[in-house]
Amino acid sequence: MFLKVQLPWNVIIAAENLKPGSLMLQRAILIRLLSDFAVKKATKDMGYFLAVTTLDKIGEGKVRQHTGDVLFPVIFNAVTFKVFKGEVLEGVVHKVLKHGVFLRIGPIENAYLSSSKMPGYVYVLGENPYFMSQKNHKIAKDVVVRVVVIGTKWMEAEREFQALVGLEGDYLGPISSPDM
Amino acid sequence: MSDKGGKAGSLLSSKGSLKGKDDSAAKAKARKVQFSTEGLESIMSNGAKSGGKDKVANGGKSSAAKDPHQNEHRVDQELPENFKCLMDCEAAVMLQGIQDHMVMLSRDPAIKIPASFDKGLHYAKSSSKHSNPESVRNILEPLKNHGLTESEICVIANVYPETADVVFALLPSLKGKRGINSQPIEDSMNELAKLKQPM
Repeated sequence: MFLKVQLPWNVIIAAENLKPGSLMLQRAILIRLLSDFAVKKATKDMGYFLAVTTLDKIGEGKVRQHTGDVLFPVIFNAVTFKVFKGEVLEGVVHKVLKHGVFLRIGPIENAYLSSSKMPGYVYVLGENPYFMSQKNHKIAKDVVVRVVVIGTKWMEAEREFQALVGLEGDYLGPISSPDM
Repeated sequence: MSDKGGKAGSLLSSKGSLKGKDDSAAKAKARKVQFSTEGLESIMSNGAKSGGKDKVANGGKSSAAKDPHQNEHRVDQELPENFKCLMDCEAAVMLQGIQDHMVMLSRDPAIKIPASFDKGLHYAKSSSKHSNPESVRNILEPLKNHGLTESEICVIANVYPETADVVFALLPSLKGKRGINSQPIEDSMNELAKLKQPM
């Protein structure tokens, strides 16, 4: 789910960017904040960083010894995305394998839905393989599926999450577009 | 429409939940992993020695073999105080606002946008089922007074269920409170359904 978070970060401005005139300084701080934010990509606690929404406060700068940089504590708001165990979400199938499918849920590329968590579905081999249930519901590439999150894993090296999802539960499964 | 096969499953699972802890524990035990049964055997063999320990063993049994889907949705416990859950429709509005400024922002090469922004925006827009997040928030906000957490309200808004049954099926944490607040939830679902109708 999407989260709105308020974060206190420290933004470091190199001495050469400290030109006179506070407007340029604010711009430098903002640019640096956006850059740090974009580079960080995701954290285990907050999920994927999507966007900075507001900059609430820029504190007093502190000069760092030895380097001459100035450190500004800033408080800002941002939108992030994180999935939690037990959450119900809709993902899009992007890969069908014999033992399960991979879904894309927002920034999470690899949410795995194992065939063992798809009660009643069987694998149908073919050029475009898919899973079919006894009630003729199809889980194929590009199908939207409502799933429940069974578990999540934070991969420190790649700085991304993986999720394990399932269909065990009521009202879960492929969603077809409503008839209008 | 969701998988209709789920409705047959719902009869079984709702029966299981109405019967109480022991049945759901027994049902869960049948399909749960090995280690919990091994632990239970040692507890039960100790429990056989004294009657007093039996109660502890039973308590241990139901807690060890609980359905993981039931007790895992504790999103709010994981979130620190400065985090706020957003409904997909609210996030879509926020991210779209930034997207609208993207042309101007991209003119400045120093400004970097996170890599996940596009995927997040796309997901929010495709998953968002309401055109007016404020009215949804107004309808669902009062449910907080009936014991629902912020995260549960967001899941309800994101799923956009048609009836209160769907809500209870997808949020097992509410099942324990069913008797108390099913009416407000049903009322809210009716209000939400009205939003679906074209103006």
